Amino acid sequence: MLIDMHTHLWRGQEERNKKMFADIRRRYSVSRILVSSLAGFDSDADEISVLNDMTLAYMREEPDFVSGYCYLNPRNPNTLEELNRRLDQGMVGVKLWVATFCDDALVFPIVETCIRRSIPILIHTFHKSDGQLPFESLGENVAALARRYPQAKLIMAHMGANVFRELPPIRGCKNVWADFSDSLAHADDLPYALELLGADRILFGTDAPLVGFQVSYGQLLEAKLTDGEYQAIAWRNSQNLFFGGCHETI
Amino acid sequence: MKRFDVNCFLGKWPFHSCRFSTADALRAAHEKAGITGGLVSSVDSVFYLDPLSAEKTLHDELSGLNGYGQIFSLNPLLPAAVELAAEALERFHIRGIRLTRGYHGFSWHDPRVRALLAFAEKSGLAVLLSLRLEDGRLDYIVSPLREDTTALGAALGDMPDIPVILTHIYQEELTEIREAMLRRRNTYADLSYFKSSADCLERAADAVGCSRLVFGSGYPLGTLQSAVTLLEHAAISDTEKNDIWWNNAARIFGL
Repeated sequence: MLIDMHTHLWRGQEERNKKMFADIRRRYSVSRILVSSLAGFDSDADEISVLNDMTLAYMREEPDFVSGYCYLNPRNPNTLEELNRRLDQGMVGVKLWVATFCDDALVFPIVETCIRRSIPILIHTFHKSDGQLPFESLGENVAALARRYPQAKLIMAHMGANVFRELPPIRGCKNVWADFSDSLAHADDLPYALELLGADRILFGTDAPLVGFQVSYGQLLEAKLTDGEYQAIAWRNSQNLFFGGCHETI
Repeated sequence: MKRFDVNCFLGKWPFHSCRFSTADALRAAHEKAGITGGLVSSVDSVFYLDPLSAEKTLHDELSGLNGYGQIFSLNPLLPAAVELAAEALERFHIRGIRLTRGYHGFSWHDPRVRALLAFAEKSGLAVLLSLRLEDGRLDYIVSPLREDTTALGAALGDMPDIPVILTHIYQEELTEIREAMLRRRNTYADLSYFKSSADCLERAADAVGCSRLVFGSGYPLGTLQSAVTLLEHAAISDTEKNDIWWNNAARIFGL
């Protein structure tokens, strides 16, 4: 079984994206994908609603294959209303991108709601030596949020992109998981993450369609994992995190 | 059908740990993927002022491996670079020269570069042009020059009649320099940085044809299995896959 817990639909490209996911499902026997829909960096409330509608429609088109994240811009005044509405509609996680740093006070009410409803939060975290986007979170931001809310279930996306720089800050934060979706991957990333975090805190994700599925899948195949570690990373951790409660099961 | 990796490394990467950088680790990873041989470069040679010392180490490590050959990573701006290449050919039987302009910053018009390319032609050596060794967003301390595909395309048109393999090239960059590639009869690209989509190999094949693609992984900096699974799952014929796995490299290197 394989759960890709980090994928996207891009506004204006959603039909092409869906065809690509169908192709990936066929090529790689993927069991389930978790999708968030994205557009600009700072979507207003109307655009957020359109994007989450895209996700919801895809969930309903492919209920055996697609689960959805509620994408939020913490700056929008109706954020909690949007969050609760989407969770009631069956979304299983929250996606935060680059509208604010993840440890901004604007994010706190979202985290508190997610704690109450046992919902994981996927946080875009990406270090680039050639310059960050405004409000683009790093490992230290995720760690700060994790320390403030030890009951929150936080996922540091992309392992922060540069694993050697971004994983150490979250090492001691047991309520932070990390996915290894990104295009910067090399052979050492996953073994290094295993040493630092252990298999139970690592999730398989690809960032498709931005990145080819084969990048993360190749890392998963290449890492010298026990069968238990492989199963944990490939699907079990995601199943426990997203579907362990009352929302949905695989 | 045999499988061959034209683009792999041994040695210490200076900027972070790289735990699979031994000959045993390379062979084990290749065996798991059904790969029976490859062409290996020294990471150290990219950075050393005396690259022959690193080439000697690489040669010693490869001496216990059947099916493997050596590609000399050489800065053409080093004093007596042509003599270094000649010595590497004589002592280590190198099969080609790897140029990493990102780290060495040379101009394609530099007479020292022209002299080295002429030596490669005279000696029957292939040239591997590595557009990068890591994603530029990972740079730490050192920021390599970023290759411009327009300039690279022009440089290709000005090269002698030698086999040229573009390594660590994104599929989008390949598409950008498609015409320059196709104007030369013996320019190829490897798969190590085909990352942008699940079908990027098919896109590359549409752009330049499978006869211009060779299997190269960039391992252990790159993930071997990412390139392997890309090729194994590609929607191309078995004949085309065999060309990429083996036949094209066999033709270039006389395997």
